[in-house]
Amino acid sequence: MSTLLEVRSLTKSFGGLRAVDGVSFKVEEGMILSIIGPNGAGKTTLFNLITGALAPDSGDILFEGRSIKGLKPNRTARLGIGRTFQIVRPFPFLTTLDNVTLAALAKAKNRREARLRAAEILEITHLSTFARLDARNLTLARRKRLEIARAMALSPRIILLDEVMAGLTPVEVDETIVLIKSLTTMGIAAVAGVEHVMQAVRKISDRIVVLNFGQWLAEGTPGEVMRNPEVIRAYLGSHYGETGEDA
Amino acid sequence: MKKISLVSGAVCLLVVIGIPFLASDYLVGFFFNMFIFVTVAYGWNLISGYTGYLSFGQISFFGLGAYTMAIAVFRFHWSWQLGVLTGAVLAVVLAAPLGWLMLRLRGPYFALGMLGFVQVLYMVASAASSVTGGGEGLYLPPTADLHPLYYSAAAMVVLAMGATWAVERSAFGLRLQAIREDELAADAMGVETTRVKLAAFMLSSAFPAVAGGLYAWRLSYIDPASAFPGNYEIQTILMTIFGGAGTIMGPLLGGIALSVMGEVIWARFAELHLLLTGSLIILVLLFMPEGMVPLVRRTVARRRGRIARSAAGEGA
Amino acid sequence: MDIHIFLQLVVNGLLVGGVYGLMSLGINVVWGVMGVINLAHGDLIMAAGFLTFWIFSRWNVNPLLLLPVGMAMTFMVGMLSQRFLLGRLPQDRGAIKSSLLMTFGISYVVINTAQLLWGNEFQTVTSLSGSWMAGELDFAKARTVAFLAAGAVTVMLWLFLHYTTYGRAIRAVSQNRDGASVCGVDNERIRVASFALGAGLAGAAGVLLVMIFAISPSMGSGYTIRSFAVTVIGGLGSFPGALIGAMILGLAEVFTGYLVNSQVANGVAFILFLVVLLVLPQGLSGMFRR
Repeated sequence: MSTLLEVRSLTKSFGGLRAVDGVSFKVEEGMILSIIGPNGAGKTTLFNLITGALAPDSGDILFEGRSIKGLKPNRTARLGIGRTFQIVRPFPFLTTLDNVTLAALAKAKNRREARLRAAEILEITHLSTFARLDARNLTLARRKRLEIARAMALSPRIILLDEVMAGLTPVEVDETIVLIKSLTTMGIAAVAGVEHVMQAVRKISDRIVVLNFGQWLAEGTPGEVMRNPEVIRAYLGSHYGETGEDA
Repeated sequence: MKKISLVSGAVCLLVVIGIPFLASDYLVGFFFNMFIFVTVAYGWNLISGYTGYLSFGQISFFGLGAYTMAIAVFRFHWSWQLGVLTGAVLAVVLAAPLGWLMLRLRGPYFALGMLGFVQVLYMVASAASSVTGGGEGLYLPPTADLHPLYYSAAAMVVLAMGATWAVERSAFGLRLQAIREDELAADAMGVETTRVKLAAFMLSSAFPAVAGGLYAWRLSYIDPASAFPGNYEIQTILMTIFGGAGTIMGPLLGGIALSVMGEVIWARFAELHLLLTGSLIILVLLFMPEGMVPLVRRTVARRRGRIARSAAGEGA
Repeated sequence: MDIHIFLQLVVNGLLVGGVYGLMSLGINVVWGVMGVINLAHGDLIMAAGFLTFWIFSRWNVNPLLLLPVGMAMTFMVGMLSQRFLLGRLPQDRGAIKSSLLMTFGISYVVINTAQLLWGNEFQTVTSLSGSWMAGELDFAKARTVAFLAAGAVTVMLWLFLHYTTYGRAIRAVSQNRDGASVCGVDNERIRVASFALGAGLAGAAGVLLVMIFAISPSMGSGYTIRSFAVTVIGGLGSFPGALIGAMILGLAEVFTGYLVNSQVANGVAFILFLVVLLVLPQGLSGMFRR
């Protein structure tokens, strides 16, 4: 198993605020890594740094062994890093099919080929019924699935999922877990940034990295991390109910 | 549905071809003017309707095309056809650095920038009198026969529609629409936004340039005021919005509707022209912002119950 | 260059800059509070100028006395526009584009109305001719008075924004829309008030401008560009920035007019606008905001 994505001592500040402070971790092929941390821990900033939407102050990002620091988002997307947005941004007045077709264009030779690939992905993500519906008319859960479908259409090697389960009902969360797990069978690794929904994190993650105030706090298997006293302390105030059973 | 549009399209084409032989010179002139407007409208439709970059400066390419043709004929004694073609080429060439500069600006800034660019070109045209004839303008050999102009203009409309159709079903077209919907997300999905926007901008500059060249040849005269006519920008924008921005038929339908309206109403109240145009834009934005084409499409779809059916599908 | 000519140009530029500053404050208010770009701004300036000319040419009223009249007219236009037109647009993601287009439409209505009422010719108000001399320097009366009046209006605006309830509400909304509404500020009313205020300021600028220059109905867009150029140079939301930007533009225009010709001087605003947007997008005030 080779290292697909490696983040080395990544740092990013906004004015006086250190959003990401010397964070390092590795993602292997086919692995599902979860990054957890309370709101403001720096997860979205981290994703923005990896995709190139933001430039790091220091540190490096390696994808398939080569540095991708400084590359713009459309470059990293075509290289094989997909991402979903925390606040879903489908193209509202385009159909669901067109939304995914657009992403498939990154690798396809023409629109027809892209559309075929998009239709396949809509099947996998159970969105085929809505293919001709404008994306703005989808419910939140389906829009989140659309986000994932779009990222999948890039034929990526890794997808960064930003709070992809926030705001979903327990049933929808389970469906999303199944979808994320299926990514690994397709050879796609996943990095999930999560604030809540801890039960889901435990079910899907191979490894967990914990961030607090932009800094790396802990790392390990779900079991190790959940029992880590520092982690519990960092979370105790806001997530007592969820981690209560583990404490 | 397809058969109907094919037949009606063929009929329209026959009518258009036949008009110069059947109608008066005045009517031919009316259609010519309409074709000119529609061509410019298609250019605007590409950069603003499909790509979402609202431009108030299409008229700058119009004037550029007009002046290029005039100078080519007046100073180099080229044929007007060559002059018009050169105007188009020059416009696209100029659009490259201009677009590279301007497209970095977000929405309102881009609009302002293009608005200002027209001013700059106007200023250049007035100042460079040795080349452009300055404020006095250039007098061109008068056109005896309107027919070649008419057919060229009609051909431009067909070309513009064809280009728009090709763009809409292509990968390029989908990328443009994605940029319009959400440029940041498009970027995240691998679209090379800078390159794609620039291509659209350059393509959209060719149409007003040709229109300008043809227009100037018809006028047999050019000066800054006629090359950059104050009402053209708003009229073509109104036509496209009224017809439906970002659609294939929008600029044509809007152009026909407004040209006819113009003949019937506004020609009688020439002094109220700008006021009526401005008011119409306001009304369209308030009451039918998407334009005719989407409105018609939705009424048809509703009647076929498609909306009801997909709503039922939502429960799946 | 002769030092006297240089200094004279500086004086001319700064005096004009005063009125340009006033022009841009109207834009600043509307843009800062509502994020709306009013493309009709320059045409409102022009309309107020023409109104002033008309009243002056008939009844010989001192244009300074017409300041409130011009302001009232454009204020009304602005208020009605926002209340019944712009305010009716759906506030979705296409709102900025739609309002841009709508103000574009409104600008043409204003231009045509002005043409119908007051004709299409270049006009100016010649109430104040001659100059005051300060040593070798020529302070044209019209320009100087306009400069001082612009300053007075600016001061009054500042007082309004900082010491009245409405004014403070406007500033609150421009800084934090949601925060302001939680504190009981009626957003819709403030939007109407802001747009009207911006339009009123355009009117003031127009009254003063016609004292200095000759204007025609088609010159509106040139003033729109100038107003935005000044706002962009100074940095959005910054009063001192706008005033400095206005001086810079005034000086640039005057010097270009002298060194090249007056037509190129008209294009200076646009060039500065582009350069600043591309090189220093936050404007001058952005440089100091660290």
